[in-house]
Amino acid sequence: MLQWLSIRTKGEENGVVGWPPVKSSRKTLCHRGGCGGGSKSTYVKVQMEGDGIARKINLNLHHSYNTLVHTLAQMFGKCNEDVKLTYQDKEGDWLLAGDVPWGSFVENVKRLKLVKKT
Amino acid sequence: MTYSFPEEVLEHVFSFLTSQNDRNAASLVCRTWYEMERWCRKRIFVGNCYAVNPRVLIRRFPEVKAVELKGKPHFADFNLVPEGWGGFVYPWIVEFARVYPWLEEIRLKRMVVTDECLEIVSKAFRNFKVLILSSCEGFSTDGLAAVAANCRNLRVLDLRECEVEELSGHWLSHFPDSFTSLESLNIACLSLEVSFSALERLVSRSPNLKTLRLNRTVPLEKISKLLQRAPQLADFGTGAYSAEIRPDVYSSLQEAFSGCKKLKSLSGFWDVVPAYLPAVFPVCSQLTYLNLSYATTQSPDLIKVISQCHNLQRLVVLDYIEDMGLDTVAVTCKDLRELVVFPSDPFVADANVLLTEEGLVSVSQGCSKLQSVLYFCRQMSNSALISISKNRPNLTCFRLCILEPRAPDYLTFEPLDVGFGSIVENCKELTRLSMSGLLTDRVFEYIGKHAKKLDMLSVAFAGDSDLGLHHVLSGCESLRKLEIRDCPFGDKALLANASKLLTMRSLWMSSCFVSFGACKLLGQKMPGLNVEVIDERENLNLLPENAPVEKVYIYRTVSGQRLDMPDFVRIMGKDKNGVYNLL
Repeated sequence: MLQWLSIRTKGEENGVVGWPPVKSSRKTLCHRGGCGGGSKSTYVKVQMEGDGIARKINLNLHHSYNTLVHTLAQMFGKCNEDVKLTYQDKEGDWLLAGDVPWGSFVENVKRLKLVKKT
Repeated sequence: MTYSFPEEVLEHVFSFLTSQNDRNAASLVCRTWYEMERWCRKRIFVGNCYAVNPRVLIRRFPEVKAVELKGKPHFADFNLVPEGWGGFVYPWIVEFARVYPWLEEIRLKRMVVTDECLEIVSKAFRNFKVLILSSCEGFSTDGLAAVAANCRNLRVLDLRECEVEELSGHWLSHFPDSFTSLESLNIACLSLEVSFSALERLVSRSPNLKTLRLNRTVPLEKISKLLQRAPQLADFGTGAYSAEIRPDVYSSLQEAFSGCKKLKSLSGFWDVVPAYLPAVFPVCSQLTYLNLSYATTQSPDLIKVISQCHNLQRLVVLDYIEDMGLDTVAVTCKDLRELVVFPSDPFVADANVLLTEEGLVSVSQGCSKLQSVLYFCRQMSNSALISISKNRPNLTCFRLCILEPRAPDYLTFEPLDVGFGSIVENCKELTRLSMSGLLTDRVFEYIGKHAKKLDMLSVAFAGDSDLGLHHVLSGCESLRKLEIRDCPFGDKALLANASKLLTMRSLWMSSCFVSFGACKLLGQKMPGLNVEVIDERENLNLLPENAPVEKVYIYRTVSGQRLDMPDFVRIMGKDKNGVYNLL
């Protein structure tokens, strides 16, 4: 009898088929990176030049530099025209955001800093 | 002694009976009423396409204008029903084309619809008006092109979460220039781009258009144009809600929304750029339905929208709304009837958002008209469930999915039996229940004892023994649909309650302990049931009688054995002619 009990089929998502009960149209949304690419949210620290208290932002909810800068500027009560976004990469260097493709940026960013345009 | 009304009078009286149940009851009064009723029934609903066959249907009802059919069992939505199982609508369409040339409406759910079916529909019914396909598959954009090209009087083309083979987006351009009767178009499930100019022209020449749900590919910058052409819209679904942040795009969008004085339903919102959300503020207070379940936007932005939706009745969101957002719902949406919260990251164990049971409790406290809940979360407690049941005894549909199977009460580590027990005891009008978390046979005892109006029950990873199943089958008087997966229920309860199954539409059991032998016995004992064993293993005939089957789907039927089964489906206990086999 016991040998016949191994009929629980395993699904791709690290568990059981059809669980949790979410339709495929919704699952593809998550896997397409719309909900964080099927992995944990990517929260990074962000500081405003001259501001002692840092904030945190979930990078997975953004798809472009444009929307990120806009959101960050709003967060610190600044106009996005008056700020520049810089970031510290995995190697510890500080760079100006916008030179590399978005995906590459998200993979390499460790912290963010908004700097006033002079 | 016969006192009878003239036929015309009876027919006129019956025309006031709209519910199929009422018509069925009237048909049973006497032969005259049966005959009269069947000649004037215009709308047919078949909840299980294998419960009856097309010939039987058309023989009884010769004057049908609208048909609704459902095919695969509900768990097909979660990939539990193997490909090719069935639910083919073709034989029905062929019969309808032959006998109902004046058919106007077809509604299908979880059925396999081919391009050939759509072509027949487009040509056989001259006054065809309404095509609604929910969770259907098997057709391509060629089929849609045929419908567009040939259905001169089409009013509704509604594709709800269908799987369409998309060969091109060109199908939409097949609506002729003379076609002006469109009232409702829903293409949200399609992924290929359709010609925007064809869409714009279609919208412009459809003065009765009330519902327009676009797909993701329609860019945000172009939506204003469409809305300007159709300010009478009541139901609108955007495409991708993202664009470069430009003030001119923003202001025309906001102006376009402002012009939609009749807009009550809003959906779409893929890829939301939060800066554009305030463009919908002008219509928020009009909305009764808001679906933000594709909006991967954080709680503060969602709150800004929802806090203006004072007249909302149905809300669908992702768990990004968090408890804080649900507090806003509780305070703002005093007319809320239905709340749906989907998980943003269902396959990750750790919580990625601050959504807990508290959000649901909050809404249950603040929204006195709340009737229907579908809630995905990662933790639940008995005390929360008890609060919810006491706050909202008027609940009719309660579906709770705790993401981790068999998760106990996170505060006490006990099973959630008492919590769900409280739900069925206090919510006396409950017709639909889905449970999750750690549950023993006790919860089924409560359900059997209290859930007298329960129509549909969904169970997963629950119970200890056959007693659990027995409580439900013997106690739930109104039960019509029962679906069970991964529960230790076996043969005893099933065989002991065999006759109960004749009062139900269907029973699904997968990854349980129902044996091959019991399925055979049940099929033999009950000619009014089809006992389908769905099992994809090879050499099934070598299985010992007491081996559990992978899946069994049992449903009552008057049409006997179906003839379109794939090789992994066996109808037990009946020989090829549908006569039950005593061997």
